Amino acid sequence: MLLLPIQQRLPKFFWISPDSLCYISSTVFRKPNPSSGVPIYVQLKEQIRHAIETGALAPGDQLPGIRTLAESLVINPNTVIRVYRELEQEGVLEIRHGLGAFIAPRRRNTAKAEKVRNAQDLVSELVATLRSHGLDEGEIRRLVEAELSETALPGKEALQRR
Amino acid sequence: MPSVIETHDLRKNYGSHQAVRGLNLQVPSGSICAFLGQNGAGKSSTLRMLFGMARPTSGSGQIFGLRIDNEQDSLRIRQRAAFVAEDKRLYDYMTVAQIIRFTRSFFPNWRSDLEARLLDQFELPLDRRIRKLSKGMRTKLALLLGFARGSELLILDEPTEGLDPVAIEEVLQIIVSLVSDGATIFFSSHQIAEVEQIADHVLMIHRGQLVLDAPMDQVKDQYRHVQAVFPDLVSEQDFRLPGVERVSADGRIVTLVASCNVDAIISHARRMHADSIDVLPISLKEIFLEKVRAGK
Repeated sequence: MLLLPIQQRLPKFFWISPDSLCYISSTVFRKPNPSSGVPIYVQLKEQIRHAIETGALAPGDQLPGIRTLAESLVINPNTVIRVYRELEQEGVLEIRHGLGAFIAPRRRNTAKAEKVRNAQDLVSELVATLRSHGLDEGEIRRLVEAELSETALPGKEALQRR
Repeated sequence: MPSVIETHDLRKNYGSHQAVRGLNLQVPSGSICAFLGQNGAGKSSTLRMLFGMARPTSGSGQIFGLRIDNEQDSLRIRQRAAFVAEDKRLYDYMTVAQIIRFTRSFFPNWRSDLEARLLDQFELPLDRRIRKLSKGMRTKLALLLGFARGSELLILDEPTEGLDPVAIEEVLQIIVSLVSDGATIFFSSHQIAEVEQIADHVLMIHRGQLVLDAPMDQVKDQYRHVQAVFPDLVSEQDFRLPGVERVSADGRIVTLVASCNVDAIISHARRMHADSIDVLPISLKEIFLEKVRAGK
């Protein structure tokens, strides 16, 4: 069993066909810094997340196979397996049977980005309203910050209930 | 994960010198397992025993479930595992091409693709006699002969010693490639940076005993350096907590190294009204130095 290629040591959904085209060159990725206190698997996860946020990786893009990525970054293939597996569980990647790992569709990835965009609209409306009520920039900023620091206090709900 | 290599209370004495003092180690299948230790810590003695080149004084060891101190078993181990020794001893009178041909004839799983790739990458001169090779070339040739055997286990004693950075990266890349094919790598090294780069399991030996045995990610996730400043004098006794490897108190300042349990240690410091608490990750090199110091 020891000589099995790595694909066969994985659950079936991790099988990656060797001749499947790799759309994403491994050059999207930088070599992790092994001597930093941050584990390599965490660094690689961050890189993939960042590449998605910046648009370097788009939904549907295929990630390199485990061997390809491990060899190009010169890191342990077990680390790549761990990263793909965890990102799949977090809904960032999709593992398609026999094909490989792909960036999950937009709705799952960009839910956060959409929320932020919606919130931006709300905030600009609010700021415009407050300005029309005669408040200046400094006053608005202090109000927002005070509100934020209050919500950050533990036990705020308990205080309000009293 | 099952283990490829296992030892139980393995010991080796040279006269009155105890080189290996009760080693219990396990190398997980499919891993790149690093074996760290100072010069004379017992690394090479251990590797030599695993490979049937030295007899254990007591205790036992298995590779693929076969006994390392049984002659027949040891032979079967050598058919399935490759060992690249520290001295990289080779037949001096042969040329590079001759020793490759000679070695290849013993191993049915010989990887001609890897042989060609490494000959090219390492720029080994096929017609040169081994005795005329530089130290670096000799190391590269020994690695080529080990890597191309198509073994399911490779035991490498300081594989990158004396190589330039480019060659080191090439060697690490081959190791990664072999593990992708399902092989297990057990290697000793003094190069902590390369260990951090590719190992997923770390074993550290000091004075013939294991002082660290953990997955690399766990080491990186859990080992922390903590410094806390208190309003009043504190003593080391206050910090004898689970997970604290070493603690030193100096007036109102406590410095400690934790191998796990950091959250509980921080809460403990908070309960003691610490004014400030700094938590920093700690490099494998620092952990190594800690372990060596602690063992003195």
